[in-house]
Amino acid sequence: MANRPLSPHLQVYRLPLTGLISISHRMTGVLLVFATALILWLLVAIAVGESAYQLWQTVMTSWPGRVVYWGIIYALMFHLCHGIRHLLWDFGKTLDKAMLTGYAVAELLLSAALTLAVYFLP
Amino acid sequence: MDDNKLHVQSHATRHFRSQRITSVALIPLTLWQVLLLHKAGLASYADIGAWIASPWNALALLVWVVIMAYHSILGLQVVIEDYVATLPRREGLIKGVNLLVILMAAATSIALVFIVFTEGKNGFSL
Repeated sequence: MANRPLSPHLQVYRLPLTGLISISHRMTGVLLVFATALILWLLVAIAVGESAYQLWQTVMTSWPGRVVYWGIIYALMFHLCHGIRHLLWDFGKTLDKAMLTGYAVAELLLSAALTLAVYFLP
Repeated sequence: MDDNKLHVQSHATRHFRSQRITSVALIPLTLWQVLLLHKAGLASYADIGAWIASPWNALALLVWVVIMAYHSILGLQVVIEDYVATLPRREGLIKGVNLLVILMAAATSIALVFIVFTEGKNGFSL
């Protein structure tokens, strides 16, 4: 029995900003599981020894590795900021319709700021 | 609640509550995830070993691994429930994903404990 088809949504509707953020929250969530796998590789490599660690470092400091790294950092900060907004919603705060897009923009700016902050880590 | 009734929560309620609790716990723990990824890009083997092996960092990372595993399992479960329609396939996929995440968390925890006990100085060099 094949999987029952899903009614098209992402391919059909032009989502408002809040909707785009919502699906991005789900997508970053799934991607971050792979980021956890990357950390698994890192810690096992360190446990194994110096050459295994250096391999991880070489791969992750190459330019594709840096693309992946910053992708993970941004996904993480995005997921974190939107997650906090979910928690606020759970307490019934910031649900007013007028401010929805405003808070969405604030959240995007915060995730960008946090990603920038990571760039300046010593 | 002052009554003497047994309070049994539904599966959905427990999921909701656990997801919120793990989310709040992960807010501070994310710092260690970022620091680890950041340091691994530039630190020497000795430096990163020492950083991980130091007690607070090791503890934070270990707690992060466990709570992240639980948060991932809860999150992936709802995603699968949304997109997989046939029940046996859905249940099988959820169980498979849970197993994968748990194995990943176990392997990561073991690696962490190993690094702590060898003080990040030498690996077992396969």
